[in-house]
Amino acid sequence: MSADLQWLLLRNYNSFIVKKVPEGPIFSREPGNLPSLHSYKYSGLANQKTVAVTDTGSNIQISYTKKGASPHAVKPARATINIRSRSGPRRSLGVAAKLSKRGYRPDLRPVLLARVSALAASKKEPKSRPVKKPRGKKA
Amino acid sequence: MASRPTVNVRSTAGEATSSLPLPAVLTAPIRLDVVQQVHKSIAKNKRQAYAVNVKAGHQTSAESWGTGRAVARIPRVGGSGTHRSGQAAFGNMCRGGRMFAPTKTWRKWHVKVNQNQRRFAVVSALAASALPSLVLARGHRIEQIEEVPLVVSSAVESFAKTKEAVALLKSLNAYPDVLKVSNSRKLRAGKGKLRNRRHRQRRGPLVVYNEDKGIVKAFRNLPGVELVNVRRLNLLQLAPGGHLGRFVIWTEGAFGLLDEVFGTFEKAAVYKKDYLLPTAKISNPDVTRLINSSEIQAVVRPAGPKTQKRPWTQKKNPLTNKAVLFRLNPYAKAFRKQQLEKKAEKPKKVKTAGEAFLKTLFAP
Repeated sequence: MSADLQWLLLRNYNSFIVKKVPEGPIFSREPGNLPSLHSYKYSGLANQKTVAVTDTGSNIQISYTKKGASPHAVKPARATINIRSRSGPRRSLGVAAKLSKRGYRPDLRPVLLARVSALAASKKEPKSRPVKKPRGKKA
Repeated sequence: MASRPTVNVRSTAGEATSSLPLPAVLTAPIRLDVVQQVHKSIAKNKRQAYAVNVKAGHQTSAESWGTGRAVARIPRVGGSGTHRSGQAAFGNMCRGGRMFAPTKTWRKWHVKVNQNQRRFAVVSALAASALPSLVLARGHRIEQIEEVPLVVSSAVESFAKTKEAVALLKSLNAYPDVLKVSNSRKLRAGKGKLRNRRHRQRRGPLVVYNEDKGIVKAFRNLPGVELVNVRRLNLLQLAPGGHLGRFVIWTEGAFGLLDEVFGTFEKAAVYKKDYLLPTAKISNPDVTRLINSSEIQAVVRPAGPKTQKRPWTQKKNPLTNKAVLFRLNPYAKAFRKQQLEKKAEKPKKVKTAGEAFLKTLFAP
């Protein structure tokens, strides 16, 4: 079934919709949705080609649907790229951008890189700051 | 549909052994509106009647006191010696009175649905159960499953122990769905707790079999798992709550029988007299492919620039700005020129002084 038809069936109800903000943006908790926004372009369910970025403990995992996969296959239809957790943002973004550069959903490139860089930034150790000396009354 | 795609049949250990062609039912049109309407009606058929007591509120012999007694004219209970005497009775606004429009048992509780509509809904729900995105969207945990529809060999139908059933589900990676159900078991909010509806939980996989040689007893104790014979598929189980995409596990025998139970688009069903599958209004629902097809691309005008340039940054008024006026109305230039020439042609009347004036001016 086409992606358009599936989107029409899924857009009004699906178990991943989050509408917590009144009169606010509609979010989506699907794994294949990069900016977690509920829309056709970013949907991880309706589209044939989807990219999912998750953080397993030891690596950042980019999983994408394979091109020639049957519409009925679930697990064998996905391929994964693992980025080692300690490789910095520059290397992670390079690996992630390769997917878009070879033409796989190039329209998702900015959100894909944003998500990967957000995950990579969370892996960085926080800067050690000098202890704050108490001033004024507290001294 | 020239050649049917095939679906792998998995053994009880989980690997794919043989394969079966996809039955035509699973490619039928998916009509959410039909399913929702039919589900709404069918769900009403299991209702039990409720009503207030016929005599409620009328078991008094109250009469109105009429006017002149400085009280409202509502019927009041007669007699004395008790608090109830003189109290208002009978009205829906009175304490202890009858309610407005007392509910009756002869309300229409059940809804009749046309047979063809019922079948259309079941067929749509089955087709939706063959699309992994719809099953995922409904909330089933099938990310690790090999393919949808999931078909298992007929050896499952002779399972006798629940242990075997659990082992099968685990080998198929379908067990997370059952776990989801057992983790979601909670006390129901409200009075349903006291009315034999104490807990509520999610729905798990639906197992469809051909012959019950013990499979029902093996699977029925697993939370959330429902079993049904392929000849008696139920919309309330295929689309619970009117939501498409139940996770269905087929046995090989049941899957192969689907073409006989529902027929195809050309061949009538065996188990439903003269029934053919409904055809879709649009045979190709893929908008992108339609746009890129040769028939449409042949008549489409060439695309414009990707980013439109602004024709001007500042709008200038043609009524005051001559250049813009002449750009919009080329004739205006020629017309203006004509006007100017006409004005130049007209001889300038030189007003010479008259005779009488000059005489007076130069008078000695």
